[in-house]
Amino acid sequence: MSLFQRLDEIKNRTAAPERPAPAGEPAAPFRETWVPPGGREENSPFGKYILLEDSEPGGFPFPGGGREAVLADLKLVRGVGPVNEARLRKLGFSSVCDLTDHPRWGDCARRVMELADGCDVRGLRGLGAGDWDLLSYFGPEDVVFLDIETTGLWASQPLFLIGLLFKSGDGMAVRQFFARHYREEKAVLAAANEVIQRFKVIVSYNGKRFDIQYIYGRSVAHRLFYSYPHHHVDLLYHARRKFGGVLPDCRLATLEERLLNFRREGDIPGHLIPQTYHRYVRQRDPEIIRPVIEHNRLDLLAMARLFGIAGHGGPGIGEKRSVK
Amino acid sequence: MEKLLEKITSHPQYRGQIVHVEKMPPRGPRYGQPGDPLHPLIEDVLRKRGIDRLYTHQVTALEKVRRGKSICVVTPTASGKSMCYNLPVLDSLLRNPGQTALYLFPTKSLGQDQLEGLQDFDLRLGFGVYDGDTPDGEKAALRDGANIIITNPDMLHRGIMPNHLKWHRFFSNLKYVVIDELHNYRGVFGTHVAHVIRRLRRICRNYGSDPRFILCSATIANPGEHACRLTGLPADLVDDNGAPRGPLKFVLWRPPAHTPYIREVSWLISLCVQSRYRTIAFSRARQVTERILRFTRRNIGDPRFAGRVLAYRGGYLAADRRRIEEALFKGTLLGVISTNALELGIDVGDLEVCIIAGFPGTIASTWQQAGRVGRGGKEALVIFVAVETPIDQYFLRNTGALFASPSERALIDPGNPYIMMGHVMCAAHEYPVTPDDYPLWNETFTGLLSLLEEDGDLVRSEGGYYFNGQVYPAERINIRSSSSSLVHLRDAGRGNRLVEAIDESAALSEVYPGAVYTHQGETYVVRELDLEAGAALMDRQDVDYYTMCGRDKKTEIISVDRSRDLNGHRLYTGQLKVTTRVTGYVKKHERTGQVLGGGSLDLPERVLETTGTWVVLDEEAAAQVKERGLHLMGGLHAVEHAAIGLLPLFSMCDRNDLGGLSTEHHRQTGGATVFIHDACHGGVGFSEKGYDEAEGLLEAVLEAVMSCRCQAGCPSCIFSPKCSNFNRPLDKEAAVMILHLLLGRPYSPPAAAGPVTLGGADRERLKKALRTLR
Repeated sequence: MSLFQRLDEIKNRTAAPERPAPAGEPAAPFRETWVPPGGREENSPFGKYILLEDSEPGGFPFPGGGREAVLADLKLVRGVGPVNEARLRKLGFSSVCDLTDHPRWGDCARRVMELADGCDVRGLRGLGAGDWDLLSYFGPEDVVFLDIETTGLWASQPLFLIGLLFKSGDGMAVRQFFARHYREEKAVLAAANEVIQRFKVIVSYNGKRFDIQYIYGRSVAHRLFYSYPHHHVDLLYHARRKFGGVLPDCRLATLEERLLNFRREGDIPGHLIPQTYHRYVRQRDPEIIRPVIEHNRLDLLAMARLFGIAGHGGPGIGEKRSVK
Repeated sequence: MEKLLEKITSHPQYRGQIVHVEKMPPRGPRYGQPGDPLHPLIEDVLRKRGIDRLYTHQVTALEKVRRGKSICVVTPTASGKSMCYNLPVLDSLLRNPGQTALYLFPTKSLGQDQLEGLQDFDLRLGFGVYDGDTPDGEKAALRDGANIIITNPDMLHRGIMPNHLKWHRFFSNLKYVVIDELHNYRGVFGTHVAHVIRRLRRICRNYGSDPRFILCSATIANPGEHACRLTGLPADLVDDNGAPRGPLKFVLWRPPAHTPYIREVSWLISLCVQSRYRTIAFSRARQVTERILRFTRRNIGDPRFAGRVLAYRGGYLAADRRRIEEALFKGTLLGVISTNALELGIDVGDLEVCIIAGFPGTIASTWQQAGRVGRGGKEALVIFVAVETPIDQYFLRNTGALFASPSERALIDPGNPYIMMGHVMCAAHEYPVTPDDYPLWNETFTGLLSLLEEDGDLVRSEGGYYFNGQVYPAERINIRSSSSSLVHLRDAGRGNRLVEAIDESAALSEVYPGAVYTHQGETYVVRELDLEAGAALMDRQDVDYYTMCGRDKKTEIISVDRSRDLNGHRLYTGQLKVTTRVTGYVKKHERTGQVLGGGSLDLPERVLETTGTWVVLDEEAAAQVKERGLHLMGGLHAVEHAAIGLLPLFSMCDRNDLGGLSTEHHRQTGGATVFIHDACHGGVGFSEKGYDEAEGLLEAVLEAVMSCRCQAGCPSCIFSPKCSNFNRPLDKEAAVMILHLLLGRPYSPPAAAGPVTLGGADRERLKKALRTLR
């Protein structure tokens, strides 16, 4: 059938007085009545959304390591490159502190020390300090893990779930902000943003390129213009560096299986998530979306548990650490 | 110019080739004064450039834009058209530094040219070209900071609009959209662009901006209508051209019998160049420009001049093209031989002589090419060298026709569902579609939304349509019909150095193994063509022959969608497979044209699967045409041409979007058949429209053919400018008879044709005799 004919058919159908509702879509207008188990309806300045709360016993491993690790990188001093660093090390300079009286690098080294003493993480980051080492300026209570679920790969498509995980007492708290309809997205963005802004460190898996960009894009779409000046540790980068050649791939689920010995049962594949959500919006059957919410929760937990291991602080697989 | 003409006519090689000289009177400049002065910075720049007054059309454009109108400027080439948008835009941006403007040009090189135009203003505004060639580092800076972005519709469609969230600053402040070379946006390409513009307007509305459109066009028959169809907005026409024009002589030139026109053209170029006239020549095919160049250089002989003539055409690397443009502009080049690539608005400075080697296909193009000379009131000469085709010969016979013919209409159909469908997906991907968006499109849009929802590509909820899927739809929609893959031509003798890059579709007929390929007058022989790797290896080799390939074209019916009776004949619409294959080539001697040899080729076929409409003539009717002694094949061929020429009026396409084939006997239909098909993959329903409106179309064709006063056909009835059989055979009377039969009307032969018993050939002879008697 040609396109012209199909369009004619549709035209005639819509012109007909009695139009049967398309399959799967209830004729009644949408009412926000459903609240998923474990969740509750919340209000934000931009309307209602669903908040799911959960807690897990035990904390997450916070990578230890002192601030010395940051200052051990002589390249933080302006003008010092790999060649100069090697030369200086041979002469016995092992930390930026040692350089403060150096005739040539002293001025610049003192500037680095000023940043370090003032805990200016952004300034140090700007000089090239590793974001993993810089964690030493923070404690576990500063950290929020973030993972989102969206209806596409481009920020022009709505997102519907922002999952956060942070330390709470002796355990971990999971907060999931969920939109039952595309219309609730703005409320979700605003409510989650409020929580994210309480923390200083964001930990994500590919969040530098995806999650944070996506949330920013969606906030632009809603004229909210959120920004996230947080210290951001993207575990994917670190996992790639550490396990890139060792594991078959660096997907979160792979790491979980190989490193934590945990295998998810019946997890929904990521590429099915957008269409699953669309189907849920049309049919409003909570059973459709439940696996996605669970998927998000498991991703957050996996990140938290991998936190200590995935970075270059912990032990690797098949990797011999050279001893100086 | 008198001197030059005298020199030509007194040359020993001159044998009365000039058929006609049309003198076009000079036109003085007309100036105007803007109501409020321009921004002082702009006035300074203009003063420094020696411009102290503006032409009337420039002032009208400025005033209308200042009053918040969208405008469409229609003035000839080189009338200072770019001022019509630069002045109002720059004036406004300088006063409101936050505002932004978007400049759209059909090609990258035009965008580059315009960038230089803006740089000349030397104003403190951020601007730049944002296209596929822009380095990534610059892209972000332009996106976040520029006042003016210069780009092309492809980039807007594929790179900018899908990422509108990153462009929110630019879109929120967008005040002006400039679209130059409006006449280029016609047919399928133009229809795509019309949707791109509607999507742009939708995005702007979502960001709270409502830009004005400043459109510029060369002379076409329907600028206002076209502008409105393209943007969906009314635009005020600005056409009171105040730019001066020098006296122009337009010469019609008939090459002597048995002299190839290429030789004639190169003789003319060398004569002009040696007399130090700056000359541009236009030819229709890329390899022809090269052959003209070779002849010209040989004619000139003197290396001082020979090196100052170059060829210019598509395929050359961008950097090479830039160099030629610059040399031409500065005047270091005396002559350039170009394809229609130089027809568009690239500024090439003051040229004096234009030689048009063969009718370029449209009246509008002819004037665009002629407009390349005589700017700023200087005297200029245009020589139209006729080629051995019926169209060109027609213009020689009817010397007034070329000057009296109106320009063509630019047609697009924003309602075409095939083209619209992809853009509905793109729009939904950019933003969920809501009923607020419907007025930007017509009712087909809502139909398509329902259809895409049924197919699961969109999800509907509470009146909004959401994109369902993870693909990037803009990536899958190529708004130009030509294939985007390129074949790189490399010089095998010089470490596979890249010589040029041409379209894959052109590669098969131009760089087959054994082909002679000429680049800036140097001949290469193709060693191998590897389509998968997108490369052709060539060896630099001086040869004195050129090659021409032979093609085999087949039209095969895949399936019939619908069929019906048409006054006793059968009419069908359905899927067709049009196969073209390059089967072999011949080597011809460069100067004599003598065939020196050749070879057969085993190359992959090019397959076009598309929709088409075809009519099968009733057997008895076909026999009747033959009985009358008329040329059945010539009649069918003529009907095909005339129908292709008129179908655009029914389906709002360009005639280049259509193709056709006619045959006395088709294997599958078993009878005399005329096919008309869409020229793009998959088809977009143009010829299907011909099925639905066959009676109306045939009626219009009959009317056009009968009312045309030519004897054996002309461009306004049965000639086609792109017929691959060079408009042979054609039989106008047979066409009239076939059309009568198709419409179920009694046919009576024209009285002037004499006794009915005369055969076609006899009739021709009689006609000729009568003509000589008169």
